[in-house]
Amino acid sequence: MLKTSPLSGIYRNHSVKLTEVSGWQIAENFGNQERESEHLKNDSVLIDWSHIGKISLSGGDAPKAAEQVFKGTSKLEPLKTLAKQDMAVLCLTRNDYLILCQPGMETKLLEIIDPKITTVTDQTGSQGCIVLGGPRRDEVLLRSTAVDLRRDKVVAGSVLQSSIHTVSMTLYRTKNLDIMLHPRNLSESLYDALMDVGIGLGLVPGGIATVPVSFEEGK
Amino acid sequence: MAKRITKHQNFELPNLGEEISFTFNGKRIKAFAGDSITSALIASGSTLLSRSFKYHRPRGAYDVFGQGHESLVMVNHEPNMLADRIQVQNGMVVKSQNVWPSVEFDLGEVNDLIVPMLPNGFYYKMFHKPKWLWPIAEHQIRKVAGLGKIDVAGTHVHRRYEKHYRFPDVCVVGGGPSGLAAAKGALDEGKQVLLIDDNPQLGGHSLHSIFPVNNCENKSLNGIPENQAVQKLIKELAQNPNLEVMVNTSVFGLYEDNLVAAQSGPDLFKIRAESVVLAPGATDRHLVFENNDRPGILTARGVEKLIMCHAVLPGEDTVVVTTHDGGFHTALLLKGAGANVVAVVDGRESGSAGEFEEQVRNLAVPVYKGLTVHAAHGKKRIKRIDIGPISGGDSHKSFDCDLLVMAVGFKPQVNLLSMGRKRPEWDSERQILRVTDLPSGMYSTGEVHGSAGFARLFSEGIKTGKAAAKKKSVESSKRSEDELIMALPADIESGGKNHFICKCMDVTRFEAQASIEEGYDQVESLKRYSSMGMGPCQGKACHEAVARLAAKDTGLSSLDAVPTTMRPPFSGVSFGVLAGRAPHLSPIRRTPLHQCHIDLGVKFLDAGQWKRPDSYIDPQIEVGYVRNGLGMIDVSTLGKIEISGPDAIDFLQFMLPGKYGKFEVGRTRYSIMVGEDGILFEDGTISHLEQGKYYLTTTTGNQDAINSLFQWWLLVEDFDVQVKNLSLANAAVNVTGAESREFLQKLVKIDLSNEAFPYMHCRQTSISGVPVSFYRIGFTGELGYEIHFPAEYGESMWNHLMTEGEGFALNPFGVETQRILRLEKGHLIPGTDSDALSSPYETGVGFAIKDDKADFVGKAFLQDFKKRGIENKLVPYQLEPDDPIPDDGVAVLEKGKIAGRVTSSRLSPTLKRGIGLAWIRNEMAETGNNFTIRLANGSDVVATVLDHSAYDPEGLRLKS
Repeated sequence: MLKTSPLSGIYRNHSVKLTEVSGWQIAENFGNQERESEHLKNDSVLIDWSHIGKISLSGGDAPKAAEQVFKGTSKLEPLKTLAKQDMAVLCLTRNDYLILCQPGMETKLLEIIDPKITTVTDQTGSQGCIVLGGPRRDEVLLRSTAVDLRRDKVVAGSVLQSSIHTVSMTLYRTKNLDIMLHPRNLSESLYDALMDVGIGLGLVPGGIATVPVSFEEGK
Repeated sequence: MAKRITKHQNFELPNLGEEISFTFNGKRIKAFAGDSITSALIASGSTLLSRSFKYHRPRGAYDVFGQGHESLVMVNHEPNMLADRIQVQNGMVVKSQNVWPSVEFDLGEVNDLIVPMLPNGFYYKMFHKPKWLWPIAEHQIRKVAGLGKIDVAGTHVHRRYEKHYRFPDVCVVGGGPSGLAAAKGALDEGKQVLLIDDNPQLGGHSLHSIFPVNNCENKSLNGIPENQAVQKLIKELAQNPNLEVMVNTSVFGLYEDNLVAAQSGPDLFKIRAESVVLAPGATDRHLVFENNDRPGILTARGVEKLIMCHAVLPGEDTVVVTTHDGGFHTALLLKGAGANVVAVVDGRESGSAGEFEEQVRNLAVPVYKGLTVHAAHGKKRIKRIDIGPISGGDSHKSFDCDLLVMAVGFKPQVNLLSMGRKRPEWDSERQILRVTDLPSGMYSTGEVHGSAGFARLFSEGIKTGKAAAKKKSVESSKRSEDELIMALPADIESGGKNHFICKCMDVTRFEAQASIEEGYDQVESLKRYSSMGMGPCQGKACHEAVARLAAKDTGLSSLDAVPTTMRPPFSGVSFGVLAGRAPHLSPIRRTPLHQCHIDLGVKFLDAGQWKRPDSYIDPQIEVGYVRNGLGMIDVSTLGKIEISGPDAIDFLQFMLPGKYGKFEVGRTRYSIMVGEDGILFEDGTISHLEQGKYYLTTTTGNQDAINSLFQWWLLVEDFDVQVKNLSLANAAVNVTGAESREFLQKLVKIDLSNEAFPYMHCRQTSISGVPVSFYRIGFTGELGYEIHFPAEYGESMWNHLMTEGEGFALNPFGVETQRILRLEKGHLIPGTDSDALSSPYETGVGFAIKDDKADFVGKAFLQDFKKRGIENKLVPYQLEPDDPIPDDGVAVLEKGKIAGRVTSSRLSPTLKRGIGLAWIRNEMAETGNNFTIRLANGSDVVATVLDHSAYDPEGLRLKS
């Protein structure tokens, strides 16, 4: 059986080219990859990364558990992150972490983490992940949240728990992307609202061929 | 007669752009691209823009800045647009509002004759007897009241409402000389500045001033007229990348923590600034005298704007009424444009002549000192005015004229400084209302603290901008003696009954005095009774006059002149702007199976934010699928919480009122939850999945609340427990019906037989490689299995089950069908069939409480409930076949009095009669008793109390 993105309903309204990644059926592009790349360069693009692995560590000795998968993360200050190409560890509070990883990699990580020292929850299926890229993505966010997300305030490599279009989420900012992790059941609403404000700002939906999953550019 | 001018003696006229045309009340009007609707209409000779609200008196342009109601018109089918602020566009269709048949000849003007003959506040006193008259009168009054007509159907108007956010370091409100200087001050400190102005162009009143700039600390601005100096300043600022300018943007509210609310067309801006500088400026003071509302009476700054910004001379024979040198400045501009300035009437008795007074006198314009205007004559346009002493009484002289220019000082725009926090106070020295005490992080500067020259406005603006950037205090504003402008009496008492205090609502001094005599002698009650200040301008024009006259007429001193509370919105805001668009405010929650339901042509039900399947065809038919074969429902919205850890069982014993000491692996139990007050608020199931791992399901609405409750108790009590909220991680379906076992057995390797997997048990297995857990429970009253699986497999799993179920005639059913099924079985839904007063014992779920165990949440209250006994009871009932079905919530009667209520009621397709649950008094609740239900249409129906459920009371089917 295939795993489907919470945006599968959106896919049906576009000429999406689907691809299979680690059992997930995900959008490779929304019909015109050249156009998506152009928008990524000049305007803004919204990508569905719902298939990335997401593991939460909460309570107990969460820093120790985080350290088991990524060295150095136990020393992270809250709202800071540590990332490499295939994984990012987001420190939400002193004792709450969210680990993002390449699709399918979460199974391996779950085997490494000792569930006795913290509450380990695989959030891969319960959370959607929408990514904004492109130079005009700040303008989209300016129409989307009452939170001050200016780049001198929320620098690349930061993570914050925020609300965008009234949807509570974890926002992870990298140099070129804003990664929004949110409840799966609100994914389509969030997509609708972002695309709605993105009219006139050159926002188009894009696939993972336009912005492949990578967490490398942390700072 | 008004006209377009092509040259001016004192300055170079602006380039007005290309010639265009639009229509006003069906008449084609020639205009230039640089025109506002008002300037184009005046230039074309159109005097009347609108009619007044109550008396339908003719109204023309007044202040030309969109402060008053006079310029409200309908533009391209949109009502209540300010003609003063809207730039004309080719082909634009402009119409007057609330006139019939035309603005020139409006039958509503009959009110001007009739209403004054009616008692003051007649609508409070008349039409109340006989009783039937008021609804008719109210309907008629409402029909004639209101301004404009909204295109509710959206036939002509298509607007897209946008919401924006800004986070500047400093937000400056007002783009006049002070605001520009404040922006410069903050920019010089390296801050990001947002500068907002409600006009199409920055510059404020300086754009139409030829006062020379002297002694300005910015030396490059000295020696040139203000209009050039301000343009120079604007150019300089425009080069700064840290400045964002928003023109045509009205700030309509200021809220806590420096939240500035502004609108620009259909766009709403929410601005959160570190500091806010308010530089809203001032407008020409509103003077009350006989017929002060007649067309042809304009403010001085309005006239200056028309001449200097639009090359329009608004009248030919002109009288300027003034109290300061600015009036002579206007007179000079009029003269330079070719007007015949008949006289300048200066209220000042003495004092040294200003620069412009001397120039005007040199042009042989007659100047009358110590006098002011007493009355205007003429109906659709003034023809003559009378002047006399400022104290009123008899008039001394009359002048024929078609334009009366009011330059009697300035009224600071204090609304934004006040905004419900602090009322303005009368400053005796400056003769204005002021607000000096602002909340932290908020600053003010400019003419809002009294009229001043460009140099002072600039210097104070710079200081304020710098202080705002550094978040430091700023020294208070100063005004020299020669900058002070005397305030004339708010009303020139020269006789007559048409002294309009509030022009928006047509309230005269006479009416205000009559209201005071009736006992409305406080400014707030006076406002509410007379409706002064409650019109479209929300008191912007009249609040000072209202305050001063209310003080005077109630025997108070001018120091006690206090306006009514000023609150947002400062300017008109449409509901569309505030509401925005649905996707931004009303997120929809979709289950992982949402698309599958759409594919099956579902009718959705809104359950809070969730979209749940209501039904796919007819719920009555869907019930038959379940009772006679096989059905499947999406129950993914259920809350799902996993509890594990060494103290898991102790935690459950503490949180839930049941006993779990002998809760074996593989068992499932029904459980209720009560609050600390013992009130029932939740029911669900708890399953022992693996040793030490429990899985709790909750109702849809309570999933977050229960998870939070658990987390809270884990903070305050010492339990070594891990709680995982898997509500979103897992999808779930309920496969139910007599054939469910046979169908599912094909798909799993575990034994589903009744012996191996009995009722109220759980199992973990897989379907096509996907891990699933099975819970054998029976909400529908049939053999059934709730299947939980990872949400990401939602669509695949549903489609797989539907495909595999084809041979078994598997059909989907929705929530409405489930509600009928559970009602046939007599199951309650907490929150629907219970409320915030429902004891579990009275609700019939007392069996789930074991109060002989150690302390648990709600124990004390539950024991108390038990002692108290049963007063009311939730009972299942049935009606006779063919009896009408009551609505949910209707009353139960006993001897004609209310004795309870129906909580759920449906037609049972299985039993072919009405069934339901009802709260009734315990004495009535014996099995077989009859009670009366009052239907919504007033008729009654008799119900019979049942012992157990109406369907399969022994539960043989679900346990089979």
